[in-house]
Amino acid sequence: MNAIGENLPFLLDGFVLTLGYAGGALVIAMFLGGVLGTVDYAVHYRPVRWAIRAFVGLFRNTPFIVQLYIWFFGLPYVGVQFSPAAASLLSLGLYGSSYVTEIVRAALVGVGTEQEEAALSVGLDHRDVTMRIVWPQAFPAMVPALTNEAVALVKNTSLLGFITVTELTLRTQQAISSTFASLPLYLTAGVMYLVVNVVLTMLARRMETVLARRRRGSALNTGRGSRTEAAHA
Amino acid sequence: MPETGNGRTEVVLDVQGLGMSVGATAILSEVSFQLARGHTLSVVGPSGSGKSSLLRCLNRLEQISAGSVLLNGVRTDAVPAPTLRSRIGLVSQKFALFGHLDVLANVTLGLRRARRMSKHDAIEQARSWLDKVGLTGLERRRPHELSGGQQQRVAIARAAALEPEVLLLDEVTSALDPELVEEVETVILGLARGGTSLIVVTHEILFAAKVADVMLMMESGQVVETGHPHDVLASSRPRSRQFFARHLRGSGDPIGDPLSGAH
Repeated sequence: MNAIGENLPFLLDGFVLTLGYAGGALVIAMFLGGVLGTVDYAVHYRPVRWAIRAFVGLFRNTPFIVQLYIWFFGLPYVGVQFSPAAASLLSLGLYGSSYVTEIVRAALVGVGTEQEEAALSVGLDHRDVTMRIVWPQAFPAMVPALTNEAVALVKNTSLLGFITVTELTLRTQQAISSTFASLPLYLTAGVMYLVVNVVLTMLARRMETVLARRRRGSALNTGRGSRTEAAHA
Repeated sequence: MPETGNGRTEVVLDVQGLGMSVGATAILSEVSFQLARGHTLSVVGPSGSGKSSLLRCLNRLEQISAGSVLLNGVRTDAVPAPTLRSRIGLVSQKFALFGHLDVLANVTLGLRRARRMSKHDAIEQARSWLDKVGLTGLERRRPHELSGGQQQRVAIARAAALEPEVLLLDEVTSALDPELVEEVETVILGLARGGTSLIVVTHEILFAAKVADVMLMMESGQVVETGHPHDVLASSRPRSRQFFARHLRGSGDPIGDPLSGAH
């Protein structure tokens, strides 16, 4: 137990780094995946779709660790040198966005042609159909899958130690090499990852509940409804 | 009958030799008819005869492969599709209301985005049309809280509020429970009498005869009968007789006198 107490500040520094990389990569993955998934859904120009298919195929079907090594150890071979931080964010962000692209595209397609055609039939252009009709109805369906993605991303940060980023897992190993308290320290690290992901999952559940309630509509927000009405009057 | 200055009936929609194919299969061929402003045209015919495809061609959800469609004398393919669709409205069998929006927003969306109306004007116009279809008081409901008949009436209000030159109604009662059909048919009759130019595709032959100035029967993608509903229903063409006999059976109405029917 002493080993945990003595090393806790050291581990917590790593934990903060882990959170930072996970957060940064999550933003990249959600943004890039959101854009690519939407483009893949909305644009029917073949070269664009092929390019997105190729991106998703490449990044989703190769191990993350190989991608990480390519960004950090591989590219210097052709004269491109990324810092460990840049290589980490790039590789995690791109890897994550390949999954997010698929999640977003599938959810947008899932809204269905009836809704699209109904929207086209009232004179909306494709952009409005996508952003005002399809996205709002697709989003609730994305939330559970995106949560899984976020959780996976947090766990994948544990591989960044391989390119010298002193995140939680690498620091745990460093602490063990000086104290030999392997089990207590690995368990401590495990608990830290667990806490982040449990909190993340709980937030996502909360969001799903709110979205479902909003979807159920007027029965639960008549107050809000009548206020809006007053504002219209 | 609305007339132009020179005494002739004004044609709002002129369809000439329209053809549509999917791959090598012809879905529609040589479809021609005219719709006078303020008139109602009903389209009947067996399933798969191309009735829905025809409507989808008219508002360019499908591309035509032959012929032309003129709206007020202008080829519809010369107009940007969103503009055209806000002027030739389409209501489909499946109401497809926007589930994330309340009833009022379902109707105002097209007015705001396609017609570029101010929020105030759009709401006013939407309310007025919701009133016409008998849905005042339900503006803040979500679509799933409404009955099928109410949903379809919202869908009709959503299309009609744009005050299109022509409104296309594609089997709008066929997904409804029988007891809900009448409320929607009443709304359609109201539109027809209110001067909206309508094309109504329906399986309800009696209603098709009652609502329309001109009735058109299709078979295998072609127009096989056209004329006053009385005359079409009284056709001597064997396959037409057979079709009408099958669809009117059990309705208690003699084929020769459909207009004194149940409604």
